[in-house]
Amino acid sequence: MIPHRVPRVLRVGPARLTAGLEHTRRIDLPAHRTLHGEPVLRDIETLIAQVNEVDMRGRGGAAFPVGRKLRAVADAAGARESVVLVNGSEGEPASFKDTMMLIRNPHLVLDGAVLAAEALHAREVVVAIGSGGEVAESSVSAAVAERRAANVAGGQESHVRIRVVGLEERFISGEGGALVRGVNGDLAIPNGRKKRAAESGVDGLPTLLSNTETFAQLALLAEFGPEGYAEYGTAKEPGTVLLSVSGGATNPAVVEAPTGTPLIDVLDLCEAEIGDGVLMGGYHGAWMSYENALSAVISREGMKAMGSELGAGIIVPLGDSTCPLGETTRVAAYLAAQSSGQCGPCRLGLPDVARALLALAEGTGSTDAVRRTVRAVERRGACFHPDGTARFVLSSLDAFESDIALHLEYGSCGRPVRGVLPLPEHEDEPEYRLDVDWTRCEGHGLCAHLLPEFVELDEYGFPSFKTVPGWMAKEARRAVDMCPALALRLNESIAVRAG
Amino acid sequence: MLHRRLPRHAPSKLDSRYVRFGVSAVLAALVLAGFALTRTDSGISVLGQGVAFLEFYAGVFALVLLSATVGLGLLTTERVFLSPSNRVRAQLAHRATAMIGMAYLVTHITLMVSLGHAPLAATVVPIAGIYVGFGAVAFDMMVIIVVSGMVRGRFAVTAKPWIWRALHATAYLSWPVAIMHGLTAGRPPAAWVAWSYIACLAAVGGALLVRVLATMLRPALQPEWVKTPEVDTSPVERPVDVNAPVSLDAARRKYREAG
Repeated sequence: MIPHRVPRVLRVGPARLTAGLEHTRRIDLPAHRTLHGEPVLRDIETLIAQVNEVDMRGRGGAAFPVGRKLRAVADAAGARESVVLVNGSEGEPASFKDTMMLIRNPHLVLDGAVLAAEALHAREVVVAIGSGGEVAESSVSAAVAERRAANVAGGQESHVRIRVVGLEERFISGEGGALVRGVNGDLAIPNGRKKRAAESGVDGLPTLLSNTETFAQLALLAEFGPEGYAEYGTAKEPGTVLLSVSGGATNPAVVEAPTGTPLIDVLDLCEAEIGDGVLMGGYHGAWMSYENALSAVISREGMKAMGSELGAGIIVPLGDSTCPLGETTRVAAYLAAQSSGQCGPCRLGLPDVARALLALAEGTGSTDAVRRTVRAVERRGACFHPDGTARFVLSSLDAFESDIALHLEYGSCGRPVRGVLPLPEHEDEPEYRLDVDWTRCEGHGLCAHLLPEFVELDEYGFPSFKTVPGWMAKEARRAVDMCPALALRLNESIAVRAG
Repeated sequence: MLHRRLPRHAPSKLDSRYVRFGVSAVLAALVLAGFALTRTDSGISVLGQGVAFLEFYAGVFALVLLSATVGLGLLTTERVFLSPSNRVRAQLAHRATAMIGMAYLVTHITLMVSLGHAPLAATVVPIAGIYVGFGAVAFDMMVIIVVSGMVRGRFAVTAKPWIWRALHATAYLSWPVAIMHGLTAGRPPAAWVAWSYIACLAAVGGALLVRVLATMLRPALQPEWVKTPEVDTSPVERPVDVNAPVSLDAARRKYREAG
């Protein structure tokens, strides 16, 4: 079930979240109980007090205080039922810490979720996992089965129902509203109007929605108590955090590090060159320059001091063998394609941003043009996607100023684009070709009327065709059906993607 | 940019689960209302009036709609008066009237059989007298026409599209037979009804004749000769002695004179 290759785990300092992972690929229930002991359940007030004592924050990127979230759900629930929702959908291609936890250490996550669920008297625990996470899904399902089996054998596992939900994953499906919609059986895209999951989430019930790592942290807090938990890390942000280090690192891995660790230590551990910069916080994050990266410290405060953000702990060192602007353009194009298409400025504006960046990389554009396109999308969407993309692009413009100057001068910086920033494989969409039997065509012109964008009539009234994208196939088929001369055909052809 | 206004991934508004739920609820309510009507005497009489109405008029509606279908079908290839957009509309109307007409026809046949006006076999084989037999023959042909209309797209890829035309043109046979059935099998029609059907037959027949004649009489399309420059056949006049052999001495002298 668990493949031979699982996300690698490295460590700076103590073993907390990743304890035991150096010996085995996946920690099953007996091993987990040996390592972490039986969980001690507590009521909601104690739990909130302990969480507030260590000022625990959500580890999905927004760093929302967990205590406030717990309080909001407890207040909204009152006498009603509630639900605990574990966000295991990592839309970020550069983040794999949550997937690692779900695959290799699922019981720690489930312990935390069950702890919260018991304290809230929740109806069930839902673990939502994105489409890339088939292995994670089967690992969590197996973990649930292990717990049930332990109970049959006389164990003392909690009886809270645990449901594993697989979602179709996009970059934005990790957004809270989108995740709730996905779990409810709708399309996993963000809501037009913000709905608090704490008030109305899964099935309209108050929902404690948090990131996978947050629940694992909650289990650790319950195990060690506030004092034990705060033994490592800085005084303001105690504990350890998980970092996904990839990109130009020779040794990409999930790193567990106590807060306060210098960033350079983490990078050295993964044998990563800083090169032109380090991307902090994923593709909605910002670049950190070489000098800042040398002195930065892993913590929300330390990152803020360097004008950056820790976010979900995504660290992507770029190295200096690749063209930074080209990498940025690739990511911008990816982000544009990940728009759910709900909000006009995002759907139309982000591709323009990517185009302006490409022009800049080819030396024909200008930074002003890019900034103009970015202004058109900023703060103009239902979710954080356009803003995050804008932040990433603007930060790239600032971080790679000298590289951009080279591009404007020579049309290239002389370095190839190596694809250092990880992106999911692009799936080729089917394209269709309209073919005409010229001996039958009589120039009725109905096809041009039905498909004005893809069929042009020449001055004699005979058609010429463009390739029809997959999403227009239905209309194209109608044109074929309606051709009075039975002369049209529709053929599928896999598009050859340039670049 | 192509179709930037149309979001690529947004599902159609009509294909949401609320719409599906609403449509199913309405259908269920209608069926349940039908069943509820049978529970009371007055309800049964209402239903009986409905059935009597359909028994009387379903065939008439079918005939009128299918006549319109034939006319619209003929219109779809009309290129003199109709713009491409109107021809598209004519095709859509052709399909719509055909669908509704066939629904009425099926209602008509079901009622006629279930009310005992005709045996079941009479729907396909002309055994119940010549007038009902007209209807059976017309219905048989209509099945061919409907099936050919539904699989029309398939013929676009085959080598022989004329097969489709031949099959679908059965309509021009089926329709007059259906009119005969309509005028003779049931109650005697009013004179104006009979005359209007004859007028329809004449109009469609005339239009069909024009179409066939135009196709047949149209001269075969020939490639066009484009005017080209005239070819001059007079013999070429060559200047004399151009290529006459020159002695080496004469050439040297000429060269020296030129400096």
